[in-house]
Amino acid sequence: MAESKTILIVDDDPVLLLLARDNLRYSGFQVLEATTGRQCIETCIQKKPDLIVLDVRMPGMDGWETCTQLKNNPLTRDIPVIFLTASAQEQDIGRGLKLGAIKFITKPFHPMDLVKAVEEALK
Amino acid sequence: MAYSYCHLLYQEFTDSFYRMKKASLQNKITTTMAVVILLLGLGLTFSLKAVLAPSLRKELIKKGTAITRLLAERVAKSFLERDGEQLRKLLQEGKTISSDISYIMVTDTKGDVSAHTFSGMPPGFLQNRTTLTGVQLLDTEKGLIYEIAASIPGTRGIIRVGIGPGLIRRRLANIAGLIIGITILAILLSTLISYGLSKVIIKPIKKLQTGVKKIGEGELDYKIAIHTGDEIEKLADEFNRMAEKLKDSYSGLEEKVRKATEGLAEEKHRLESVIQSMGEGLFITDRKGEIISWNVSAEKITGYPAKEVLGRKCKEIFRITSEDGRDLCLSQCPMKEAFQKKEIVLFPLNPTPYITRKDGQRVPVSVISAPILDNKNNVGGGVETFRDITREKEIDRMRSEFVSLVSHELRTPLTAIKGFTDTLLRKDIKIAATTGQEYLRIIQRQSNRLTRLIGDFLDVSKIESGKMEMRWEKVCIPELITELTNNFRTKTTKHTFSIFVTKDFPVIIADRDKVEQILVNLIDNAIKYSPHGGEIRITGENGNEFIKCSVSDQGVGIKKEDIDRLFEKFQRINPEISRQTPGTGLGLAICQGLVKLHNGEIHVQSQYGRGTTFTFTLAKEPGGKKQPHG
Repeated sequence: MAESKTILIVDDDPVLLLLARDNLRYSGFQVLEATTGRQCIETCIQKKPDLIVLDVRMPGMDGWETCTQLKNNPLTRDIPVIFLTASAQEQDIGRGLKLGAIKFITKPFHPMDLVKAVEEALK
Repeated sequence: MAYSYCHLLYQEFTDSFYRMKKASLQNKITTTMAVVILLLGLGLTFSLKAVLAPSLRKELIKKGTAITRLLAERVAKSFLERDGEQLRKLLQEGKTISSDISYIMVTDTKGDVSAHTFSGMPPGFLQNRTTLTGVQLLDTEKGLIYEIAASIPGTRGIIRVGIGPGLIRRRLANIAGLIIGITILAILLSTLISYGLSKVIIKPIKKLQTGVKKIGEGELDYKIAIHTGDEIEKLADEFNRMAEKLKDSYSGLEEKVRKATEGLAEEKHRLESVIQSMGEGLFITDRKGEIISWNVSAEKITGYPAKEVLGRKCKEIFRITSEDGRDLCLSQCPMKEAFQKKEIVLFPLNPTPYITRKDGQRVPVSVISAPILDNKNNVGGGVETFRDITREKEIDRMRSEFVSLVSHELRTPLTAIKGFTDTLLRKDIKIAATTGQEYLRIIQRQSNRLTRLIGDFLDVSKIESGKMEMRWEKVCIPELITELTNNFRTKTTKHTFSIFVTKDFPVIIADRDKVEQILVNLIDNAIKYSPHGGEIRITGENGNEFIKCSVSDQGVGIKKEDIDRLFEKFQRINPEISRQTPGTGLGLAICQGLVKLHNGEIHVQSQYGRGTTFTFTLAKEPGGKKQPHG
């Protein structure tokens, strides 16, 4: 790749952050991290990543909230969002898609699934 | 005309006959006797003609003949001597023999009258008679005359004696008159007698009548007093006996009815008590759906007191709606369905039915309707019972929340384990040895965490379902505390441990492993939440039926508002700290459960920033009394 893309990973679990970060780095991406919804939005505005991997369950502002805010903000609206979730209930998927997410990945996942999803989204 | 008259007479006769049928006994007897006597009299009178008349006639003729013969002999001499005057004299004498003699005549064979007793000339029809001897019946103006002719002996003369007139008729009339007179007398007499007699009979019958009437009206104690010594007295006795028996069976019946009524009243009371004491709301409606009964629980759940509800339609008060406000009563009225199907109907629980209280609040309920059927299987009304299922829904919600929490908690370490394993197995990259080691350590830690998590979940599950097995044995707690503290001392350098146990601390009967689990948990927390070190103090006290232990630290403490949530599952109060160290968020919940299994209680005291103390009690023996609230 000519220019490596920046991925912002948002999850309150540091172990998972490590997992996602390392795998994405191995695949050539630059990785930013955030542990809260607030941090996510701030980082988005400041650093303008190419894609956001967003965990649904977080204390405080959860993934849904965060996504809604991102999409409402013209500065962040166009950044593609991939949701990470432990449960894959139909109504959640529907809700997420309505909010503008492009994909859902359910935990536990194969790290290559994440990598592939990111590559797909950035084509 | 004659026909209609006869018809009238006939009508009169039958009417009076019918009337007589209904007349009193007395009158009946009297009338009958009178009628009988009358008929007798009449019968006698009329049979006179047939029976008496001929014999009378015979008598008369006999007598007449005898007189005529006698006279014939007397006048023989005079006739022969043609002594007219003597003849006349004799005839006149002869006439006086009997008053019945009308005339006497002497004629010769040619019919010329020689002498007679008439004052003037003998009447024409008597002259020129030529009969010689025998009896002749003459029909004259004065009536029937029997003429007896006999020949005067030794002469050719005939003597004729006329007897009558209308003699027989007169005689008969006399007798008839006598009979009628006697009859009338007899009738009068019989009337009097029958009146008297019937009184004798009627009086007791009237007494009987009164008595029976009184008995019939319910005076079963009335005794008919008749002492005539005849069948009527016997009848009266039977009536009295019957009244007695009736009285007995009535009082027997009354007793039975009273008992049955009492029994029914008791049943009703019982039923009423049951209905009023039910935890579920219950109301009864009639066939039209109007409420006729509303129990205490119904009042409580709906907020409507019974007196406001009685007489109103069920659908006015008890309107069932869905959570989003749709009216479910219209389409699926449970009462209507129960009436139609004539069986018990459970209102579907999906979507959850709600009713609106008087104060506007909405309550989720489960509703059952049943029809009240009579003997002929017709619907006479309905019964509806309902239960406030707010708590159940809450529990349901909590349970499904728990399940999703658990699945989330389990997936987290699993994600790490799988993720890092897959990363290590990536064929497209090369991972440095040190990094690889790090990954493996993460996998190891997360596996341990998962193991602990699963263990904790099982503990929680067992505690909550009451299926936790307890191994009761003698436990020396001070010994246990010392052992654990020694272990912990090796795990931390920042902390100091001090133990304070009273001298009289007894050996208790408890589940040693569980007590260890409690202490380990608390000490673990103490260490975890005092990251800057400090003293960890463990104490033990003796009590009456309980012993008391405590674990205190000098750590970060707990905010007042967080204390309530402390013992709930998965409550990570202090995320920064709990994040760093492996914990399941179930520790305190399990502690509480285990303490409760020992009939004890666990409490916490804390000052934010200064430290925390957990205190718990354990019963000295299992099955001991629960600690009073204090």
